[in-house]
Amino acid sequence: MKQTEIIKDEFVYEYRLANGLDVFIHPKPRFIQTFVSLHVYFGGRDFRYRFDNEKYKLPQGTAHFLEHMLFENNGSSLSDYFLNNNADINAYTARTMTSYYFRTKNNFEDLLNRLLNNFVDYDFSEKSIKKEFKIISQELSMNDDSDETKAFKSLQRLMYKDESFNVQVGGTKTSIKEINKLVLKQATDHFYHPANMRLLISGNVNPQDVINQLENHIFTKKAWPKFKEIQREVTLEDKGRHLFRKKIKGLNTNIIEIGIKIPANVFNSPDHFLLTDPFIELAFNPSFSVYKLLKVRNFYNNNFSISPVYDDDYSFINISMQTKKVKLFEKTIIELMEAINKLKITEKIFGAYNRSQIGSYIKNLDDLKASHNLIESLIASNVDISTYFEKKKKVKLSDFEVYKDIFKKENLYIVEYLQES
Amino acid sequence: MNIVKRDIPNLEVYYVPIKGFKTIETFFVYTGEIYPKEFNERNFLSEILLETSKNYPTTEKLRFVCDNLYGLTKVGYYHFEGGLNVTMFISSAVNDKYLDEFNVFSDSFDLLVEMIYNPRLYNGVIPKKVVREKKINAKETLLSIKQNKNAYTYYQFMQAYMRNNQEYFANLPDEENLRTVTSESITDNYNKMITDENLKIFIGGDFDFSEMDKIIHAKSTMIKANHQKKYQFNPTFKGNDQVNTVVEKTSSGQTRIYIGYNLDFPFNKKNSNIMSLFNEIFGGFENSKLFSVIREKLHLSYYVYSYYSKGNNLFFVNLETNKENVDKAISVVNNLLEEAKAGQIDDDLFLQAKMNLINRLETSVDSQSKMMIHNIIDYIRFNESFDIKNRIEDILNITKEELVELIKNIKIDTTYIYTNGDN
Repeated sequence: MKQTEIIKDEFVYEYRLANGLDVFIHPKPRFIQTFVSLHVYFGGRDFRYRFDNEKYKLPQGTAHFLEHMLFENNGSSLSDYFLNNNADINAYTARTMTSYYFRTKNNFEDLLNRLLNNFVDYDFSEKSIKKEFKIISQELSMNDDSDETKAFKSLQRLMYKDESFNVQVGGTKTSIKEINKLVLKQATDHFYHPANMRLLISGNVNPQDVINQLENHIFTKKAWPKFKEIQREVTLEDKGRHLFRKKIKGLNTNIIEIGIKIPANVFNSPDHFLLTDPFIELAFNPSFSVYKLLKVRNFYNNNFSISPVYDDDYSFINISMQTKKVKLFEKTIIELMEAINKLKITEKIFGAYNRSQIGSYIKNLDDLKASHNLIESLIASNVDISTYFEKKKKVKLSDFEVYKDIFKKENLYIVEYLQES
Repeated sequence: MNIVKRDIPNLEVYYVPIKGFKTIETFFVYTGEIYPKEFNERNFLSEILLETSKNYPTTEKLRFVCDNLYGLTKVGYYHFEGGLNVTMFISSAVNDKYLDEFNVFSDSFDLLVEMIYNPRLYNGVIPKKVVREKKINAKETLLSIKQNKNAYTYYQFMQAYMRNNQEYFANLPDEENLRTVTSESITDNYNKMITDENLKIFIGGDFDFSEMDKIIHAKSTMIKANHQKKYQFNPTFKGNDQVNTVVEKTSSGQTRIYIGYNLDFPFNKKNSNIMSLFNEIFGGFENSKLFSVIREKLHLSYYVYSYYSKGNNLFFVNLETNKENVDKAISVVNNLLEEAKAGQIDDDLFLQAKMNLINRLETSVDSQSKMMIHNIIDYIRFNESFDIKNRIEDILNITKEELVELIKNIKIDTTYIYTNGDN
């Protein structure tokens, strides 16, 4: 078992089970609860892929549908079992993966066993499939009902012509009609292999005891077939347009979504996770012209947000805004891009910023859920957690130079949902 | 963990000793009477005071000093409950024990005091430019609320539900009174806060009491505090005998339903515990009555829940469904409530709901902020510290009979439906 000190007296343990499952354990003895998350690398993008050199298709929304079905696998309710043990269990599906997670104060071993029992074999009843179809249809109707969500989806469609970037994770009411037992079997056969999963446990546990338990579980002992890598082909090209405008009935103000593509050479860099967020935070620091430009024109309102969006195969910076002053905002965005290009970060501001980053890291580890999420993000982004904190303390101003270059017109995409007058 | 009141002249200071966390949290909590036309003023004030100060007159200067203090986080929070104004200024600093230097907490405390008691003023009032920005921002927030269906329907429902209670409740930002906000009105509201309202200071974390006393003593002359006036927490709700039904038609989309209730019984600790338990049973989790029937059995909705606000003694149900299911969904909610009033509450569900509440209380020790909030809220509501053991015992002792007796006093007050008006 590999042991890594992530901050003084705090460790993360890594171990790969015989079945290929990667296990990460972050003991937090001060806490009374334990958080567990099992990630399966099967998400909304996996409606076309290659497996064992063959091309396959699945209805859009299969990963999400399967997530719902897993709660009723083999005729028993996963939720009921956890509720009866006063534990919370839930799951979500994203573009690249499905995550099942629980937290508990008591009976950790028993609940971990129960969770893994659910991933040994699969049997879904027709009745359950019909029931989940109805519930998911309601969920999809909800998603269709938000102009903010639609504007963001339009941005993704504008930036990437490849459907796997802008597909609805839950599919559509039409696509999920095609999901049946055979479809679910194909999905579990191809994707639900331990070597295509990852387990992270944070909390009041002893790492060796956890590994011993996992080694003896049927999930590990089962004779799994040899894992075959899933292959996905994507293209990062756009549709040749950078602006999309649409008039919408009933809007009270205009919704603007902006995307700034991060080129592949930058997001594939091992330090992408270490640098992208800090660069955005620094560039928009109140000491610099970018912040002042937005502030003086009153764009820094409660609806303004800027954040990076990334998966393992793409990345962009997203700015969201709602404003009456669309023309001025368009002009401001161009000026903002120029200001970032010319940005001069002083050592004094950078020094203070670095101290705030150290404080933020310590604070994150003070909260069980936040620290679980932090470790999860680091692992998901292939960050070497053994060196992360030390590297973070040693980041230099010059490390950010590469980011200035991405703020160019050819990387900029704008979606405007405008009030219909 | 025992909360400790400190003997510091002219100040009401409490320490919440919590071992093992790497941060120290400080709460300045003001409670006072509500000024019904000044919800916006106080809301803006809770933000403005933490954005600049006299010695750090720009956002960038204040940000720099906070960053240097290992990212001191600060939050201003304003809400109203039980007929009281509650304004909190909160800071979270890394404990010096986990850093290679000293005075980080002490400097952080000084900075919080500076922000609250030494605001940036121009000609004796909060600068006009700052107020103008806040008003513009509030107007844009209102526009966004109006086009976000979830936010809008909640906003509209609360307007309808609180129609008779506007002297102690408002949606924020309060659109009706936005126009009258000025530099002078915010400054006046600030003066009321620091001279008239009751201040309690809570500090939580792993620290030496006498060292902390010294830090507070050093600043005590700057902290203006009035704790002579006592304000009574007393949630009241004025309902009507007739159900208030509001139907709003839109051009497309899902139907949102809110049902607001009048809890026609006195607010006290026992009743609020019983009501929390009933909320859990009715719509608080996956096996609750609403979830198991409306979502799992009838598939009428993806989400459905009930919510009990202890602070204002309010209770409502929210769900989203297709237009054609509206009547059925409302009728099922009503029937489930009537069933509960008739005592039809499954023993397993009753027990499970108790265990959920107890579990939530027990696991709150994993969060320093939650422990602080529990203590502060109990001081505001019941003038006593939070005691997990007693609270758990109170929940365990609730009988089904007394729960049924209490919920018989729940009456429908408002039904709000936001629906697709197309045929």
